[in-house]
Amino acid sequence: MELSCDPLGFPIIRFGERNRWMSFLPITRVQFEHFLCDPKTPVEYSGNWYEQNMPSLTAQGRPRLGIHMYQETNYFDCFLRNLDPIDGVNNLANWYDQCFPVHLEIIGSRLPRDEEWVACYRSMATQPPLAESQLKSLGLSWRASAILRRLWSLSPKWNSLAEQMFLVKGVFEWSKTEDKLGYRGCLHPTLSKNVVDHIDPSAGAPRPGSGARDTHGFRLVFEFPHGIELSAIRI
Amino acid sequence: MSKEVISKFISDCNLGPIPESEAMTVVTLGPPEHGKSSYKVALFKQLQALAPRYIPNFALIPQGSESLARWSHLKDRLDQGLLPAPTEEGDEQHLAVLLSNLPSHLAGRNIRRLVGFLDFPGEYFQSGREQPIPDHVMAAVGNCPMPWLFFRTDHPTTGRPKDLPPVFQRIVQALGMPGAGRSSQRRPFLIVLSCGDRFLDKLPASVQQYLREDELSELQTGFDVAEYMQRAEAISQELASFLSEKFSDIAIMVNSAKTQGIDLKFCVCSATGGIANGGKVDPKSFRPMRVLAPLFWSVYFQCDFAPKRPGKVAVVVQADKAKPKIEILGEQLSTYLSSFGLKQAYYMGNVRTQMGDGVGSHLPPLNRSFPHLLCPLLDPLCHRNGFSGGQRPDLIVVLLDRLPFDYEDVKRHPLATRILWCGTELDLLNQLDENRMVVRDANDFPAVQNEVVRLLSRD
Repeated sequence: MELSCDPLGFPIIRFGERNRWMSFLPITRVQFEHFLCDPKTPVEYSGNWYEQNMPSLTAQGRPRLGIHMYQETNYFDCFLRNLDPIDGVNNLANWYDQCFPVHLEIIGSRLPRDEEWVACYRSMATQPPLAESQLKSLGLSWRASAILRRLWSLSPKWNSLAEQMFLVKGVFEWSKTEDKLGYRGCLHPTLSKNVVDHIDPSAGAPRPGSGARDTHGFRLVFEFPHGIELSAIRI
Repeated sequence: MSKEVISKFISDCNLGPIPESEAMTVVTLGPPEHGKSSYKVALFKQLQALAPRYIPNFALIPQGSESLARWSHLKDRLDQGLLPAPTEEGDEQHLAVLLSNLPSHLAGRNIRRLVGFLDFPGEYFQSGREQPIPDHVMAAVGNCPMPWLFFRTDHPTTGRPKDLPPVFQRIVQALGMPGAGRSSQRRPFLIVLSCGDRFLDKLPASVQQYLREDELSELQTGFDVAEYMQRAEAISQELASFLSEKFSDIAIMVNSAKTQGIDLKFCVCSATGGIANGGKVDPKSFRPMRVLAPLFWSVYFQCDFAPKRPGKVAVVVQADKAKPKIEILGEQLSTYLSSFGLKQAYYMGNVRTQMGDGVGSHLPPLNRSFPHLLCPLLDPLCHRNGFSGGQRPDLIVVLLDRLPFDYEDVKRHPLATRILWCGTELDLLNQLDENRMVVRDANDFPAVQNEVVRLLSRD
């Protein structure tokens, strides 16, 4: 198993045979804020757009929580939700493509395909959780470290790497089957009283139609050509 | 600079209390007839020419009776069409001048600067002289942030600055351990190649062009000290390579200076502009070339030495919708910081001015339409390969008109204690934890300057 960092210093994990990496956590709002503040970002992502579409992240409505303010009842606020899964995710993924150094020749960033998400989950569910010390040499950014420390401090015990990555008890996560949108994952009970598990690989991913949802976040998959080596640590 | 030297100047000049940061010494060294005194006349001529055409109200005023006498002597000689008489043993007439009403784009926050030129007889540095360089000379050299060593480049065929390496080595040896008492910073030392006009066509093309340009016209409003010093640095490197390639002993001198902890700089100038004939000049055609460069080197290093540790970095961030009066303050502050040679990134709405190395690739500018998050700007400053080669800035000045959305994260950011918050609204600033000040308009700029200096002086 290999871990590396995305250009913002957030962890990504290698999965499968090919040179594909997935966000270790669902995309956080901190990563999205970097996107918002970059001049390469499309102009429609303005302050007005932010306040209309992400009210829980701004000073309007619910105040934006600092990393130290996450509790067991609200830690999913750390993850970016409510972003349009087609245009919004595409814009973010395209921006990510531009952020990776040119010499890595990234093939592309995108939503995971349904089978990729499931394969990743299966693989991580059999792995033991990480110790914080294992990430020391990874070169995480300050806020990525702060987020992981805070989130991991909220649970006394993790049973697997999949839990530690919030593949369960996180948010629903957008995935794609061919060109159709689905989602996977398992919500934290605070997000929904009716805990629904959409992890079971034998069941197809539910099809919600398009549109942003307050319970839905996502990870990105980053694919590189064979032979391109990312700076990584083995775990 | 030592407190004794400063005190002597200040008492001689009868100017009342002058802060250390407003005073500086320049020690001019070099063998006889290498142009030190002629240079001084040329420098003062250029400085006087700055007013009123280039810098209104600027004035150069000799200080104290000794300086006045020396000044009169230099001026009389020039009026008579004669170059200054050589400074002889027992005739060490130092000269202190006050540069007053300096604009901030030249001098940062100090609108006046007391400069003491300590001139020593050339005989002390003559090649082959057996007596050691006198202690009082070496004490002055030791206390000078950037001594100047003059050498002529007018050998008829080679332009060789004869005996430069052995004389330089004598000075370094007399100084003892170079850099001692100055932490780990390399000690700057300026080699001034005088009489550049006589060797003009042998110099590299870029240096020729540099010498021929009118240096006064550069100093008008909008003058950028950082750019000026970048060019001076490029010329210095060009001259070092040029001389090292031509003369092996100079190559050895340059390399040995590096290992001895000396930051050797080169500049080239001509006091008369090539019209001296047998020691006589026509005052009307007296045409100094690049004589301001050595003074700027000293001002630059003096600032670098004075209240800060080496490598301090400042960043200015400004909110997009800041009021115009705050924008003016941002511009003033940016100019002020760059005059110190501080690496910085400056944001004002969607306009970014980059200065220094490593900013571009690691520090995203604020989006025009989304200015209310601060952490995306702070994070890259902690990047191990980022701003200033991984060195974190010592001070970040934030000019703001509303609380950043991510203020809770900013408060806990590793750089939080290095932020100086400046805003127009008292209510807003009261929500901030520390290092905050109200600024109403550009009139508050001196107060901001003082606070910047205070914070940069922290250990």
